[in-house]
Amino acid sequence: MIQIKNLKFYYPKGKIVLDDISLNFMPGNIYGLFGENGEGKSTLIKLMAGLLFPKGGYCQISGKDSSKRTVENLQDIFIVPEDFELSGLKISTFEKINSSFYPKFSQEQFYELIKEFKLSPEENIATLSFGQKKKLLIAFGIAANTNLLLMDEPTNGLDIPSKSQFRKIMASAVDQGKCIVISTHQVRDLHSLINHVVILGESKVVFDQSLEVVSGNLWFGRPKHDTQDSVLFSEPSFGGKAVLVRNDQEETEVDLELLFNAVVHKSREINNIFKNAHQDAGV
Amino acid sequence: MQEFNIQRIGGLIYRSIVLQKGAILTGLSVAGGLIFISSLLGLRGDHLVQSNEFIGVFSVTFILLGIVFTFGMFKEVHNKKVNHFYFLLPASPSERIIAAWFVASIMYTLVFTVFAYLAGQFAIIIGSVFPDTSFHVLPIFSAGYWRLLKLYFLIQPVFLLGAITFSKNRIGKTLLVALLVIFILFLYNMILCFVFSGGAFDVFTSDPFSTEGFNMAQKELSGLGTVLFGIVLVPMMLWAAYFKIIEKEV
Repeated sequence: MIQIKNLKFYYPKGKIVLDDISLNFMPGNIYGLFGENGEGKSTLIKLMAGLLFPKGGYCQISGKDSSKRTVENLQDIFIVPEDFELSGLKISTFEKINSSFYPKFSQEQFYELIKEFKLSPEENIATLSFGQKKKLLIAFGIAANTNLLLMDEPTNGLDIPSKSQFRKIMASAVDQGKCIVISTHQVRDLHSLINHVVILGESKVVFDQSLEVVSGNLWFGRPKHDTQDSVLFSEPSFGGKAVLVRNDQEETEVDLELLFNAVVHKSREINNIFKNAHQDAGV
Repeated sequence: MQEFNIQRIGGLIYRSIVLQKGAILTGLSVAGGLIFISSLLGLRGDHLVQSNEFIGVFSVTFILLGIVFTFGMFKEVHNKKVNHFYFLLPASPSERIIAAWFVASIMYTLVFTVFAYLAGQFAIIIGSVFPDTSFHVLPIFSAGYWRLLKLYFLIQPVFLLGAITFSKNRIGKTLLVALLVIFILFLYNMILCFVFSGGAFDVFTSDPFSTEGFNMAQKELSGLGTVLFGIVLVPMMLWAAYFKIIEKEV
Protein backbone atom coordinates (compact mmCIF):
# COMPACT_ATOMS: atom_id res chain seq x y z
CA MET A 1 0.00 0.00 0.00
CA ILE A 2 2.65 2.57 1.03
CA GLN A 3 6.16 2.13 -0.16
CA ILE A 4 8.84 4.44 1.18
CA LYS A 5 12.25 4.12 -0.39
CA ASN A 6 15.45 5.99 0.55
CA LEU A 7 13.36 8.89 1.80
CA LYS A 8 15.28 11.96 2.84
CA PHE A 9 13.82 15.10 4.35
CA TYR A 10 15.00 18.28 6.02
CA TYR A 11 13.34 21.62 6.64
CA PRO A 12 14.89 24.72 5.02
CA LYS A 13 17.92 25.76 7.06
CA GLY A 14 17.26 22.86 9.43
CA LYS A 15 19.06 19.65 10.28
CA ILE A 16 18.15 16.44 8.52
CA VAL A 17 14.93 14.98 9.93
CA LEU A 18 14.66 11.73 7.98
CA ASP A 19 17.77 10.25 6.44
CA ASP A 20 17.48 7.56 3.80
CA ILE A 21 14.63 5.63 5.34
CA SER A 22 12.78 2.76 3.69
CA LEU A 23 9.50 1.30 4.95
CA ASN A 24 6.50 -0.65 3.73
CA PHE A 25 3.01 -0.29 5.15
CA MET A 26 0.58 -3.06 4.19
CA PRO A 27 -3.23 -3.12 4.34
CA GLY A 28 -4.96 -4.99 7.16
CA ASN A 29 -2.56 -3.68 9.78
CA ILE A 30 -2.49 -1.02 12.48
CA TYR A 31 1.00 0.40 12.69
CA GLY A 32 2.35 2.16 15.75
CA LEU A 33 4.88 4.80 14.76
CA PHE A 34 6.98 5.63 17.79
CA GLY A 35 9.92 7.86 18.52
CA GLU A 36 11.13 10.44 20.95
CA ASN A 37 10.13 14.08 20.53
CA GLY A 38 11.58 15.63 17.39
CA GLU A 39 12.49 12.31 15.75
CA GLY A 40 10.35 13.04 12.68
CA LYS A 41 7.12 11.12 13.36
CA SER A 42 4.83 13.99 12.35
CA THR A 43 7.08 14.83 9.40
CA LEU A 44 6.88 11.23 8.18
CA ILE A 45 3.07 11.29 8.51
CA LYS A 46 2.96 14.53 6.47
CA LEU A 47 5.26 13.05 3.83
CA MET A 48 3.05 9.98 3.59
CA ALA A 49 0.01 12.18 3.11
CA GLY A 50 1.74 14.33 0.47
CA LEU A 51 1.60 17.46 2.61
CA LEU A 52 5.40 17.69 2.47
CA PHE A 53 7.60 16.68 -0.45
CA PRO A 54 10.68 14.44 -0.07
CA LYS A 55 14.13 15.94 -0.65
CA GLY A 56 15.34 12.56 -1.80
CA GLY A 57 13.85 9.11 -2.44
CA TYR A 58 10.10 8.65 -2.71
CA CYS A 59 6.89 7.81 -0.93
CA GLN A 60 4.30 6.00 -3.02
CA ILE A 61 0.72 5.09 -2.26
CA SER A 62 -0.50 2.22 -4.43
CA GLY A 63 2.33 2.96 -6.85
CA LYS A 64 1.71 6.71 -7.13
CA ASP A 65 3.88 9.43 -5.61
CA SER A 66 2.07 10.88 -2.60
CA SER A 67 3.51 14.34 -3.37
CA LYS A 68 1.50 14.45 -6.61
CA ARG A 69 -1.71 14.66 -4.52
CA THR A 70 -3.82 13.07 -7.23
CA VAL A 71 -7.57 12.89 -6.62
CA GLU A 72 -7.33 9.08 -6.62
CA ASN A 73 -4.75 9.13 -3.83
CA LEU A 74 -6.51 11.83 -1.84
CA GLN A 75 -9.78 9.89 -1.90
CA ASP A 76 -7.93 7.13 -0.11
CA ILE A 77 -6.19 9.17 2.59
CA PHE A 78 -7.47 10.82 5.72
CA ILE A 79 -5.29 12.40 8.36
CA VAL A 80 -6.06 13.25 11.97
CA PRO A 81 -3.36 15.82 12.78
CA GLU A 82 -1.90 16.48 16.20
CA ASP A 83 -2.86 20.14 16.31
CA PHE A 84 -5.69 21.59 14.31
CA GLU A 85 -8.56 24.04 14.25
CA LEU A 86 -12.05 23.48 12.91
CA SER A 87 -14.46 26.10 11.61
CA GLY A 88 -17.32 27.16 13.85
CA LEU A 89 -19.97 25.10 12.06
CA LYS A 90 -22.56 22.64 13.25
CA ILE A 91 -21.26 19.03 13.22
CA SER A 92 -23.88 18.11 10.60
CA THR A 93 -22.79 21.05 8.39
CA PHE A 94 -19.14 20.00 8.74
CA GLU A 95 -20.14 16.52 7.57
CA LYS A 96 -22.21 17.91 4.69
CA ILE A 97 -19.50 20.16 3.24
CA ASN A 98 -16.68 17.61 3.46
CA SER A 99 -18.21 14.14 3.06
CA SER A 100 -19.17 14.52 -0.62
CA PHE A 101 -15.47 14.40 -1.53
CA TYR A 102 -15.01 10.89 -0.14
CA PRO A 103 -16.73 8.28 -2.33
CA LYS A 104 -16.82 5.61 0.40
CA PHE A 105 -18.05 7.95 3.17
CA SER A 106 -20.73 6.37 5.37
CA GLN A 107 -23.11 8.91 6.91
CA GLU A 108 -24.66 6.21 9.06
CA GLN A 109 -21.29 5.18 10.47
CA PHE A 110 -20.35 8.82 11.10
CA TYR A 111 -23.47 9.63 13.11
CA GLU A 112 -23.20 6.33 15.02
CA LEU A 113 -19.64 7.24 16.04
CA ILE A 114 -20.71 10.79 16.90
CA LYS A 115 -23.34 9.30 19.20
CA GLU A 116 -20.81 6.89 20.68
CA PHE A 117 -18.49 9.82 21.41
CA LYS A 118 -21.40 11.53 23.17
CA LEU A 119 -21.62 14.38 20.65
CA SER A 120 -24.70 15.73 18.92
CA PRO A 121 -24.99 16.56 15.18
CA GLU A 122 -26.55 19.90 16.09
CA GLU A 123 -23.67 20.97 18.33
CA ASN A 124 -21.52 23.84 17.12
CA ILE A 125 -17.87 22.86 16.72
CA ALA A 126 -16.77 26.21 18.20
CA THR A 127 -18.25 25.19 21.57
CA LEU A 128 -16.42 21.85 21.71
CA SER A 129 -13.27 21.16 23.71
CA PHE A 130 -10.08 20.12 21.88
CA GLY A 131 -10.62 16.48 22.87
CA GLN A 132 -14.19 16.56 21.52
CA LYS A 133 -12.96 18.12 18.27
CA LYS A 134 -10.45 15.31 18.01
CA LYS A 135 -13.23 12.76 18.51
CA LEU A 136 -15.19 14.45 15.72
CA LEU A 137 -12.23 14.20 13.38
CA ILE A 138 -11.57 10.57 14.33
CA ALA A 139 -15.23 9.78 13.63
CA PHE A 140 -15.02 11.53 10.27
CA GLY A 141 -11.77 9.76 9.41
CA ILE A 142 -13.22 6.33 10.17
CA ALA A 143 -16.50 7.06 8.35
CA ALA A 144 -14.59 8.32 5.29
CA ASN A 145 -13.52 4.66 4.88
CA THR A 146 -10.27 5.61 3.20
CA ASN A 147 -7.79 2.78 2.71
CA LEU A 148 -5.15 4.79 4.55
CA LEU A 149 -5.88 6.48 7.86
CA LEU A 150 -3.02 8.49 9.34
CA MET A 151 -3.23 9.67 12.94
CA ASP A 152 -0.74 11.94 14.60
CA GLU A 153 -0.92 11.76 18.40
CA PRO A 154 -4.64 10.90 18.31
CA THR A 155 -4.89 10.34 22.06
CA ASN A 156 -3.52 13.78 22.99
CA GLY A 157 -6.37 15.71 24.56
CA LEU A 158 -8.48 12.62 25.20
CA ASP A 159 -9.49 11.79 28.77
CA ILE A 160 -8.81 8.31 30.23
CA PRO A 161 -12.22 6.73 29.39
CA SER A 162 -12.00 8.22 25.89
CA LYS A 163 -8.58 6.62 25.35
CA SER A 164 -9.96 3.13 25.90
CA GLN A 165 -13.03 4.05 23.82
CA PHE A 166 -10.62 5.15 21.09
CA ARG A 167 -8.80 1.81 21.20
CA LYS A 168 -12.10 -0.07 20.97
CA ILE A 169 -13.35 2.00 18.03
CA MET A 170 -10.05 1.78 16.15
CA ALA A 171 -9.85 -1.99 16.61
CA SER A 172 -13.32 -2.35 15.08
CA ALA A 173 -12.46 0.04 12.23
CA VAL A 174 -9.62 -1.94 10.71
CA ASP A 175 -10.38 -4.46 7.98
CA GLN A 176 -8.32 -6.27 5.37
CA GLY A 177 -8.30 -3.35 2.95
CA LYS A 178 -7.37 -0.64 5.44
CA CYS A 179 -4.03 0.46 6.73
CA ILE A 180 -3.92 2.60 9.85
CA VAL A 181 -0.76 4.37 10.98
CA ILE A 182 -0.81 5.89 14.45
CA SER A 183 2.06 8.09 15.47
CA THR A 184 2.52 8.75 19.16
CA HIS A 185 5.05 9.12 21.93
CA GLN A 186 2.46 7.87 24.42
CA VAL A 187 3.25 4.24 23.78
CA ARG A 188 0.88 2.88 26.44
CA ASP A 189 -2.15 4.38 24.69
CA LEU A 190 -1.79 1.91 21.85
CA HIS A 191 -1.64 -1.15 24.08
CA SER A 192 -3.48 -4.11 22.49
CA LEU A 193 -4.38 -2.03 19.43
CA ILE A 194 -1.43 -2.14 17.06
CA ASN A 195 0.04 -5.20 15.38
CA HIS A 196 3.23 -3.68 13.99
CA VAL A 197 5.84 -1.39 15.54
CA VAL A 198 7.99 1.16 13.73
CA ILE A 199 10.44 3.18 15.83
CA LEU A 200 12.31 6.23 14.58
CA GLY A 201 15.56 7.41 16.12
CA GLU A 202 18.41 9.64 14.99
CA SER A 203 16.70 10.29 11.63
CA LYS A 204 16.56 6.57 10.85
CA VAL A 205 14.20 3.63 11.27
CA VAL A 206 15.67 1.84 14.27
CA PHE A 207 12.99 -0.83 14.55
CA ASP A 208 10.39 -2.25 12.19
CA GLN A 209 8.76 -5.52 13.23
CA SER A 210 5.31 -7.01 13.59
CA LEU A 211 4.20 -7.75 17.14
CA GLU A 212 3.88 -11.40 16.19
CA VAL A 213 7.59 -11.52 15.38
CA VAL A 214 8.42 -9.50 18.51
CA SER A 215 6.56 -11.84 20.82
CA GLY A 216 8.08 -14.81 19.01
CA ASN A 217 11.60 -13.65 19.77
CA LEU A 218 11.45 -11.57 22.92
CA TRP A 219 10.19 -12.29 26.40
CA PHE A 220 8.81 -9.55 28.67
CA GLY A 221 8.61 -9.95 32.43
CA ARG A 222 10.58 -10.33 35.64
CA PRO A 223 13.57 -12.55 34.91
CA LYS A 224 14.35 -15.57 37.07
CA HIS A 225 17.87 -16.08 38.41
CA ASP A 226 18.76 -18.68 35.81
CA THR A 227 17.71 -16.43 32.92
CA GLN A 228 19.75 -13.37 33.97
CA ASP A 229 22.22 -14.02 31.18
CA SER A 230 19.67 -13.50 28.42
CA VAL A 231 18.46 -10.11 29.74
CA LEU A 232 18.70 -7.57 26.92
CA PHE A 233 17.33 -4.58 28.77
CA SER A 234 15.83 -3.92 32.16
CA GLU A 235 14.55 -0.94 34.03
CA PRO A 236 14.23 -0.78 37.81
CA SER A 237 11.40 1.77 37.43
CA PHE A 238 9.36 -0.94 35.67
CA GLY A 239 9.32 -3.03 38.83
CA GLY A 240 12.28 -5.06 37.69
CA LYS A 241 10.65 -5.96 34.37
CA ALA A 242 13.04 -6.77 31.59
CA VAL A 243 13.27 -7.74 27.94
CA LEU A 244 14.88 -11.09 27.41
CA VAL A 245 15.65 -13.33 24.50
CA ARG A 246 12.64 -15.65 24.51
CA ASN A 247 14.42 -18.95 23.82
CA ASP A 248 12.10 -21.72 25.00
CA GLN A 249 10.11 -19.68 27.48
CA GLU A 250 6.36 -19.25 27.17
CA GLU A 251 5.16 -16.41 24.93
CA THR A 252 4.36 -13.15 26.77
CA GLU A 253 2.34 -10.10 25.88
CA VAL A 254 4.52 -7.40 24.33
CA ASP A 255 5.12 -4.52 26.72
CA LEU A 256 5.26 -1.64 24.23
CA GLU A 257 6.81 0.83 26.63
CA LEU A 258 9.52 -1.57 27.66
CA LEU A 259 10.16 -2.55 24.04
CA PHE A 260 10.40 1.13 23.05
CA ASN A 261 12.89 1.89 25.81
CA ALA A 262 14.88 -1.22 24.99
CA VAL A 263 15.10 -0.24 21.31
CA VAL A 264 16.03 3.35 22.16
CA HIS A 265 18.85 2.20 24.46
CA LYS A 266 19.97 -1.06 22.85
CA SER A 267 18.90 -0.80 19.26
CA ARG A 268 21.74 -2.89 17.83
CA GLU A 269 21.38 -5.78 20.30
CA ILE A 270 17.62 -5.96 19.89
CA ASN A 271 17.80 -5.86 16.10
CA ASN A 272 20.49 -8.55 16.10
CA ILE A 273 18.08 -10.94 17.82
CA PHE A 274 15.64 -10.52 14.92
CA LYS A 275 18.39 -10.72 12.32
CA ASN A 276 19.72 -13.94 13.81
CA ALA A 277 16.23 -15.41 14.13
CA HIS A 278 15.60 -14.55 10.48
CA GLN A 279 18.85 -16.19 9.42
CA ASP A 280 18.08 -19.28 11.53
CA ALA A 281 14.66 -19.53 9.93
CA GLY A 282 16.32 -19.19 6.53
CA VAL A 283 18.67 -22.06 7.30
CA MET B 1 -9.13 8.65 -12.22
CA GLN B 2 -10.79 11.81 -13.50
CA GLU B 3 -8.92 14.95 -12.40
CA PHE B 4 -11.77 17.19 -13.51
CA ASN B 5 -15.24 16.65 -12.19
CA ILE B 6 -18.13 19.15 -12.20
CA GLN B 7 -19.64 17.60 -9.06
CA ARG B 8 -16.44 18.15 -7.12
CA ILE B 9 -16.27 21.75 -8.36
CA GLY B 10 -19.85 22.13 -7.09
CA GLY B 11 -18.77 20.66 -3.77
CA LEU B 12 -15.85 23.09 -3.52
CA ILE B 13 -18.13 26.05 -4.34
CA TYR B 14 -20.66 24.97 -1.71
CA ARG B 15 -17.87 24.41 0.83
CA SER B 16 -16.24 27.81 0.32
CA ILE B 17 -19.61 29.60 0.53
CA VAL B 18 -20.49 27.81 3.79
CA LEU B 19 -17.05 28.54 5.28
CA GLN B 20 -17.21 32.20 4.21
CA LYS B 21 -20.88 32.69 5.14
CA GLY B 22 -20.22 35.01 8.05
CA ALA B 23 -17.72 37.16 6.13
CA ILE B 24 -20.05 37.34 3.10
CA LEU B 25 -23.02 38.49 5.18
CA THR B 26 -20.97 41.07 7.08
CA GLY B 27 -19.37 42.42 3.89
CA LEU B 28 -22.66 42.63 2.04
CA SER B 29 -24.34 44.34 5.00
CA VAL B 30 -21.62 47.01 5.17
CA ALA B 31 -21.67 47.53 1.38
CA GLY B 32 -25.48 47.58 1.35
CA GLY B 33 -25.54 50.17 4.14
CA LEU B 34 -23.05 52.40 2.29
CA ILE B 35 -24.95 52.10 -1.00
CA PHE B 36 -28.23 52.84 0.77
CA ILE B 37 -26.88 55.98 2.44
CA SER B 38 -25.11 57.24 -0.69
CA SER B 39 -28.27 56.64 -2.77
CA LEU B 40 -30.33 58.59 -0.22
CA LEU B 41 -27.80 61.43 -0.42
CA GLY B 42 -27.93 61.21 -4.23
CA LEU B 43 -31.61 62.07 -4.12
CA ARG B 44 -30.77 65.57 -2.95
CA GLY B 45 -31.08 68.32 -5.54
CA ASP B 46 -32.51 66.63 -8.62
CA HIS B 47 -34.47 64.02 -6.59
CA LEU B 48 -32.99 61.28 -8.75
CA VAL B 49 -30.25 58.73 -8.24
CA GLN B 50 -28.14 59.25 -11.37
CA SER B 51 -26.12 56.36 -12.75
CA ASN B 52 -22.83 58.21 -12.20
CA GLU B 53 -23.77 58.89 -8.55
CA PHE B 54 -24.62 55.25 -7.97
CA ILE B 55 -21.62 53.77 -9.77
CA GLY B 56 -19.19 55.80 -7.63
CA VAL B 57 -19.89 54.08 -4.32
CA PHE B 58 -20.79 50.82 -6.09
CA SER B 59 -17.32 50.67 -7.70
CA VAL B 60 -15.43 51.21 -4.45
CA THR B 61 -17.45 48.71 -2.42
CA PHE B 62 -17.58 46.14 -5.25
CA ILE B 63 -13.83 46.12 -5.90
CA LEU B 64 -12.79 46.28 -2.23
CA LEU B 65 -15.18 43.58 -1.07
CA GLY B 66 -14.26 41.42 -4.07
CA ILE B 67 -10.58 41.60 -3.22
CA VAL B 68 -11.19 40.90 0.48
CA PHE B 69 -13.45 37.98 -0.44
CA THR B 70 -10.85 36.54 -2.82
CA PHE B 71 -8.22 36.68 -0.08
CA GLY B 72 -10.65 35.26 2.49
CA MET B 73 -11.23 32.20 0.32
CA PHE B 74 -7.57 31.22 0.54
CA LYS B 75 -7.08 32.00 4.23
CA GLU B 76 -7.30 28.26 4.85
CA VAL B 77 -4.21 27.65 2.67
CA HIS B 78 -1.90 29.64 4.94
CA ASN B 79 -3.20 28.66 8.37
CA LYS B 80 -0.90 25.91 9.68
CA LYS B 81 -3.71 24.49 11.81
CA VAL B 82 -6.21 24.03 8.99
CA ASN B 83 -4.29 23.84 5.72
CA HIS B 84 -3.94 20.04 5.81
CA PHE B 85 -7.76 19.84 5.40
CA TYR B 86 -7.55 22.04 2.34
CA PHE B 87 -4.66 20.20 0.67
CA LEU B 88 -5.97 16.72 1.46
CA LEU B 89 -9.49 17.42 0.26
CA PRO B 90 -9.88 15.09 -2.73
CA ALA B 91 -9.96 17.68 -5.51
CA SER B 92 -7.46 18.49 -8.22
CA PRO B 93 -5.65 21.86 -8.42
CA SER B 94 -7.59 22.82 -11.57
CA GLU B 95 -10.89 22.12 -9.80
CA ARG B 96 -9.81 24.24 -6.86
CA ILE B 97 -8.81 27.18 -9.08
CA ILE B 98 -11.93 27.03 -11.23
CA ALA B 99 -14.18 26.82 -8.15
CA ALA B 100 -12.41 29.74 -6.46
CA TRP B 101 -12.47 31.88 -9.61
CA PHE B 102 -16.15 31.09 -10.24
CA VAL B 103 -17.18 32.01 -6.68
CA ALA B 104 -15.07 35.16 -6.41
CA SER B 105 -15.85 36.52 -9.88
CA ILE B 106 -19.11 35.24 -11.46
CA MET B 107 -21.13 34.42 -8.34
CA TYR B 108 -19.80 37.37 -6.40
CA THR B 109 -20.65 39.79 -9.25
CA LEU B 110 -24.20 38.44 -9.55
CA VAL B 111 -24.89 38.46 -5.82
CA PHE B 112 -23.31 41.87 -5.24
CA THR B 113 -25.15 43.42 -8.18
CA VAL B 114 -28.53 42.13 -6.99
CA PHE B 115 -27.80 43.18 -3.41
CA ALA B 116 -26.56 46.64 -4.41
CA TYR B 117 -29.56 47.10 -6.68
CA LEU B 118 -31.93 46.20 -3.84
CA ALA B 119 -30.15 48.56 -1.42
CA GLY B 120 -30.22 51.45 -3.93
CA GLN B 121 -33.82 50.79 -4.93
CA PHE B 122 -34.83 50.62 -1.28
CA ALA B 123 -33.25 54.05 -0.77
CA ILE B 124 -35.33 55.39 -3.69
CA ILE B 125 -38.50 53.89 -2.19
CA ILE B 126 -37.72 55.47 1.19
CA GLY B 127 -36.91 58.78 -0.57
CA SER B 128 -40.15 58.71 -2.53
CA VAL B 129 -42.02 59.15 0.74
CA PHE B 130 -41.07 62.82 0.42
CA PRO B 131 -43.34 64.77 -1.98
CA ASP B 132 -40.64 66.06 -4.39
CA THR B 133 -39.08 62.67 -5.02
CA SER B 134 -40.93 60.28 -7.27
CA PHE B 135 -40.32 56.56 -7.59
CA HIS B 136 -37.91 55.61 -10.34
CA VAL B 137 -35.89 52.54 -11.29
CA LEU B 138 -32.26 52.61 -10.21
CA PRO B 139 -30.10 53.04 -13.34
CA ILE B 140 -27.59 50.31 -12.48
CA PHE B 141 -26.62 48.89 -15.89
CA SER B 142 -24.80 51.92 -17.21
CA ALA B 143 -21.64 52.02 -19.34
CA GLY B 144 -19.72 52.65 -16.12
CA TYR B 145 -21.06 49.39 -14.65
CA TRP B 146 -19.83 47.32 -17.60
CA ARG B 147 -16.45 49.09 -17.53
CA LEU B 148 -16.18 48.26 -13.84
CA LEU B 149 -16.95 44.59 -14.45
CA LYS B 150 -14.31 44.49 -17.17
CA LEU B 151 -11.78 45.96 -14.76
CA TYR B 152 -12.75 43.60 -11.93
CA PHE B 153 -12.57 40.48 -14.10
CA LEU B 154 -9.13 41.62 -15.23
CA ILE B 155 -7.65 42.32 -11.80
CA GLN B 156 -9.40 39.62 -9.75
CA PRO B 157 -7.16 36.75 -11.00
CA VAL B 158 -4.11 38.82 -10.05
CA PHE B 159 -5.39 39.02 -6.48
CA LEU B 160 -6.33 35.34 -6.58
CA LEU B 161 -2.72 34.51 -7.40
CA GLY B 162 -1.53 36.83 -4.64
CA ALA B 163 -3.92 35.20 -2.18
CA ILE B 164 -2.30 31.80 -2.83
CA THR B 165 1.29 32.98 -3.14
CA PHE B 166 1.73 35.17 -0.07
CA SER B 167 1.14 33.92 3.43
CA LYS B 168 1.44 37.20 5.34
CA ASN B 169 0.33 40.79 4.47
CA ARG B 170 -1.17 39.25 1.38
CA ILE B 171 -3.14 42.23 0.02
CA GLY B 172 -0.26 44.67 0.55
CA LYS B 173 2.31 42.36 -1.04
CA THR B 174 0.06 41.69 -4.06
CA LEU B 175 -0.45 45.42 -4.60
CA LEU B 176 3.26 46.04 -4.23
CA VAL B 177 4.17 43.36 -6.79
CA ALA B 178 1.46 44.63 -9.20
CA LEU B 179 2.82 48.18 -8.89
CA LEU B 180 6.34 46.92 -9.46
CA VAL B 181 5.27 45.05 -12.61
CA ILE B 182 3.47 48.16 -13.91
CA PHE B 183 6.55 50.27 -13.19
CA ILE B 184 8.81 47.78 -15.00
CA LEU B 185 6.43 47.77 -18.00
CA PHE B 186 6.48 51.58 -17.97
CA LEU B 187 10.30 51.60 -17.98
CA TYR B 188 10.32 49.01 -20.75
CA ASN B 189 8.00 51.21 -22.84
CA MET B 190 10.21 54.22 -22.23
CA ILE B 191 13.28 52.29 -23.34
CA LEU B 192 11.48 51.07 -26.48
CA CYS B 193 10.36 54.61 -27.19
CA PHE B 194 13.93 55.85 -26.76
CA VAL B 195 15.27 53.16 -29.10
CA PHE B 196 12.65 53.62 -31.83
CA SER B 197 12.73 57.41 -31.79
CA GLY B 198 16.44 57.33 -32.54
CA GLY B 199 17.43 58.57 -29.12
CA ALA B 200 15.24 61.66 -29.33
CA PHE B 201 13.26 60.61 -26.26
CA ASP B 202 10.61 63.23 -26.86
CA VAL B 203 7.69 61.76 -24.92
CA PHE B 204 7.31 64.76 -22.67
CA THR B 205 8.41 67.44 -25.11
CA SER B 206 5.52 67.30 -27.61
CA ASP B 207 8.07 66.73 -30.34
CA PRO B 208 6.03 65.16 -33.13
CA PHE B 209 7.69 61.82 -33.83
CA SER B 210 7.19 59.55 -30.81
CA THR B 211 4.35 61.55 -29.30
CA GLU B 212 2.46 61.09 -32.51
CA GLY B 213 3.36 57.42 -32.40
CA PHE B 214 1.98 57.13 -28.86
CA ASN B 215 -1.21 58.94 -29.84
CA MET B 216 -1.74 56.71 -32.83
CA ALA B 217 -1.13 53.58 -30.85
CA GLN B 218 -3.56 54.71 -28.20
CA LYS B 219 -6.20 55.59 -30.76
CA GLU B 220 -5.85 52.65 -33.10
CA LEU B 221 -4.68 49.81 -30.88
CA SER B 222 -5.70 50.47 -27.29
CA GLY B 223 -9.05 48.64 -27.63
CA LEU B 224 -7.46 45.60 -29.23
CA GLY B 225 -4.53 45.85 -26.85
CA THR B 226 -6.80 45.78 -23.81
CA VAL B 227 -8.68 42.75 -25.13
CA LEU B 228 -5.43 40.93 -25.92
CA PHE B 229 -4.01 41.92 -22.54
CA GLY B 230 -7.13 40.56 -20.83
CA ILE B 231 -7.09 37.36 -22.85
CA VAL B 232 -3.46 36.73 -21.93
CA LEU B 233 -3.40 38.09 -18.38
CA VAL B 234 -6.45 36.31 -16.90
CA PRO B 235 -5.60 32.74 -17.99
CA MET B 236 -1.95 33.35 -17.19
CA MET B 237 -2.74 34.37 -13.62
CA LEU B 238 -5.06 31.39 -13.16
CA TRP B 239 -2.42 29.11 -14.65
CA ALA B 240 0.21 30.48 -12.28
CA ALA B 241 -2.22 29.98 -9.37
CA TYR B 242 -2.67 26.36 -10.48
CA PHE B 243 1.08 25.74 -10.24
CA LYS B 244 1.27 27.51 -6.89
CA ILE B 245 -1.31 25.07 -5.51
CA ILE B 246 0.63 22.11 -6.91
CA GLU B 247 3.92 23.15 -5.32
CA LYS B 248 2.52 24.30 -1.98
CA GLU B 249 3.51 22.33 1.13
CA VAL B 250 2.05 22.72 4.61
